[in-house]
Amino acid sequence: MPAIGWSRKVSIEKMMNFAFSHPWVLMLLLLGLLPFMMNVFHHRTASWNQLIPQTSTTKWLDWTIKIMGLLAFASLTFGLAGLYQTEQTFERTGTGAHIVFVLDRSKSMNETFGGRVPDENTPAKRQIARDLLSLFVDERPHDLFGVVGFSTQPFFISPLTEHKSVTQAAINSLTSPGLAFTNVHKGLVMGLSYFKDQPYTGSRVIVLVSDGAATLDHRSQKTLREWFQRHRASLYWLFLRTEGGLGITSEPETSADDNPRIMPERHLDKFFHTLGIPYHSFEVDTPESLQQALSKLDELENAPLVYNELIPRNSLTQLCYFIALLFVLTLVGVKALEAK
Amino acid sequence: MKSIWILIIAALLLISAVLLPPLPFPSKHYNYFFIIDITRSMNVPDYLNAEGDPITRLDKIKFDVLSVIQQLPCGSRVGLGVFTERTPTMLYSPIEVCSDYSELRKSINSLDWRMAWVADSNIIMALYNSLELMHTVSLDNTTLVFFTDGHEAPPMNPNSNPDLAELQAGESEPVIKGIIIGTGDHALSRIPKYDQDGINVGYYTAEDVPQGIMTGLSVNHGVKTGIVPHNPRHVRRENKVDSTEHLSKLREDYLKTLAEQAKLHYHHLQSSDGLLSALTHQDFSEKHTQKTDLSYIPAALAFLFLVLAYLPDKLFRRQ
Repeated sequence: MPAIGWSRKVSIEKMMNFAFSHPWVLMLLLLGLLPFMMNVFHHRTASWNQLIPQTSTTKWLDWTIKIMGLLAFASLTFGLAGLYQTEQTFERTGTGAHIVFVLDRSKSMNETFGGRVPDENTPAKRQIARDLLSLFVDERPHDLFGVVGFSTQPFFISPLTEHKSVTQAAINSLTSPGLAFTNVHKGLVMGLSYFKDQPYTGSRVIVLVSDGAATLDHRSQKTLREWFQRHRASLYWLFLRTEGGLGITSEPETSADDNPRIMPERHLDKFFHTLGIPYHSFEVDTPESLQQALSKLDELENAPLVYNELIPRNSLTQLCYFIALLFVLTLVGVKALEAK
Repeated sequence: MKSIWILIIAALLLISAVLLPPLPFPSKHYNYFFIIDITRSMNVPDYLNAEGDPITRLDKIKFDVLSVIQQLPCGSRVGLGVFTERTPTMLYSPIEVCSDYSELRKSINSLDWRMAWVADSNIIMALYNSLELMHTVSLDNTTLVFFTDGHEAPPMNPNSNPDLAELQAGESEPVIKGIIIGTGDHALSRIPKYDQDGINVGYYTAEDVPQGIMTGLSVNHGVKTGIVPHNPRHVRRENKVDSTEHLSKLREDYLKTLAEQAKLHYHHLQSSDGLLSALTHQDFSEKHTQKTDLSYIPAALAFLFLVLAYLPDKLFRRQ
């Protein structure tokens, strides 16, 4: 079973912080036994054994020299096998949040804010969203970010991670053309699922970036209510409104129009207000207003946060060679004292 | 010969190993964009895992791709996309295989046929659109790795096929290099059917799927007559003879033809080692100079001298 293989690897990584890049080189360790079978000195025939009495001191000296030989071989082998310290994380406290972007990948994201086909001067909504989210991620050093995409179905893009390179690559998914419809509910549920096995070490934020809404049935309303409360997540909705289109704040002309089918944005917003969680909505219809919404988010989400500082893997080969050098130099010294 | 000099040479070599800075040295790495078929036929369990239990085509891809990624040289990058029907999408642009391995693993393991936003699978259009997507998302120099079983559902009308050769002619856009990975077995298998919650509710039957080409074919072979109305009466009789569209196998000949038209390589997915060697073909490698730690060279020589220092004198004496 592949799963077993993985968990085994992970548990080893947790237990020890050291690993080798070329473990097979460790076979050379066998040669570390050489000092116990042979030695660096010339064979001498003593005329009379009693001339070189075997005292505890000579025995001790003999063993020390052998062990130094062994250690010289061992440290050199460790260096050649590429000993390194695995990536380490240290807990630190700072300010920030755990943020999951739930990105609308529907077809309408291909249009400009004016509802047109994008050209060089007026990029598509998804392109503007990508550029500004990317800047936002760069400015928040301690946050964990995760990314979910959704259209008709939700899709897992990147997990909650402190690796900004991954989050940036995931936001780049907005450069690929939009797909089908807008199924907000499924995207949000997948976004919330990111917090499932995550310890509560900082405030949790779902940032829904969409340019449309959909009606929610009772079952999905119930799930969302439960999950938002269970995971204690707050919600930001950055609604990318198309010029002339309906928005969150649009008022119905007649009371007959005031239903989720005709005005899904208004009713989704109403529903979010009933969730009993911190909720902010931003109606965005220019790149500037999107920038303002993100600044507001940046300002609000600065609660204390326990974050992990990553120390990248650290090669220890030079250190191994240095230790080997010390042992070899000692052996040189011992050898220099050899009776001629 | 068993002199102090052997040990001194070993020591000198070790000093140079400690002091040697990383030097610019030519090395190889790879940049891939994996696009994976997540249509329903990928749920066919016609592979076996190491324990001999059947696994689905999609699971086989996940397992072998992760194993290949683990063996790629650091500095290589992998991006991920999926396709269903005729549309591919990028999940993320290429990320580095060593420092971002755990995220690669999580996202690849999360691939699921339920991500599919529509149900059909239109391989040739998806391939065509994947090649175009590479230009759109500025991955022109990345190697496209296209995983599919080649099962067109519903069957394609060859008259409306896009021209892969023209797209890859290199005239308006640069040629994308890449490989099609044929996934599946040569024998026909049943396609599992799942309900909304992912529970297996049996298999697709002949009545569930269109068995023939739904748009009409012209009577004269090779003459394109434009779009013939979507009308079963125009569907030629002989298309109905082949009624195995509810079963699935690897359409290898078809994929090989597509690969040839689009100037791509072809490989049949069998083992992760095979996949690794197909993917690390020299056409796909990128040579560049990288600051490389070469201290292992003096260190290895020092090791040799240390061994010599312990070997008996007799080995060196000629008498």
